Amino acid sequence: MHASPQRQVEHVLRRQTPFGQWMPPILYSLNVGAAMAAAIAVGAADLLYLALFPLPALIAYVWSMSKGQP
Amino acid sequence: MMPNFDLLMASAVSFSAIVLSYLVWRFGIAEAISFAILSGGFSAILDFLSAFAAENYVYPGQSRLWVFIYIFFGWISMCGMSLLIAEGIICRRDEDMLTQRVYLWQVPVLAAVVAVAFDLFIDPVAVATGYWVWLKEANVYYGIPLLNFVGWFVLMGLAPFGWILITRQRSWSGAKKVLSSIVGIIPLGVTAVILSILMNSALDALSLK
Repeated sequence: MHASPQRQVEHVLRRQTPFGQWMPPILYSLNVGAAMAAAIAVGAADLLYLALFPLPALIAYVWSMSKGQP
Repeated sequence: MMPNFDLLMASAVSFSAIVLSYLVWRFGIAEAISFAILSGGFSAILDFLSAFAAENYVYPGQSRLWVFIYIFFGWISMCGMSLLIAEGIICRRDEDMLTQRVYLWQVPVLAAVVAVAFDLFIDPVAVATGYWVWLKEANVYYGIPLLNFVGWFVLMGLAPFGWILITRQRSWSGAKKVLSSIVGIIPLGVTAVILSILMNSALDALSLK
């Protein structure tokens, strides 16, 4: 079970794949969406504006990916 | 609408399963187990103490076993998601959170900020929904004591820090990484308690609760 140098490179290469890049923001968005749905379901729609708090991280992630960091 | 605790548990288990599957794919099985121990086990133990020893909050009608299992999976999900988002923001595309020494602290700090920002949304919703009830005095944010956000920041920073520190050890076997994660709960726990006391004391000094 020793991690080889090749293994160390693999986790970077896998991060560069479409799945590696886009799974985290999709999961994040699903979590935000689930909380928004819960707020609407219990009649707490007045709290939906608080969804602005998680958005900057999502925007920053998508911007970092889309600007094509070297 | 009454809170659906089965749905809450199912969502926590589902999201944590996705996070762990992703980590297995990216880093390997031992590394994913290590992450489960540090993000789930370490955080769940301290959060469990917050719920039942310090009696900061309750999940109405739920057993201690249910609470421990829920927060175990819930923390894996939240911590993993925040860590991966932080990595995406900070790390260059040809690197990741393990490749540069500076990421050892940068990524966990940002992950903690991301997690707290996320909780600023979900905690008021969860309280309004009736999933949990805070028992401590609060005077700043929707009846949620600020010690909650201190706890999130500390745990969501320390757990990724411990995991990156262990996972960076290229020469360690998988078994050694897993064992180190278990042992690492002790120093991480002590650090978490000290940091929480310091930060909560600062808030108390400002009469912010």
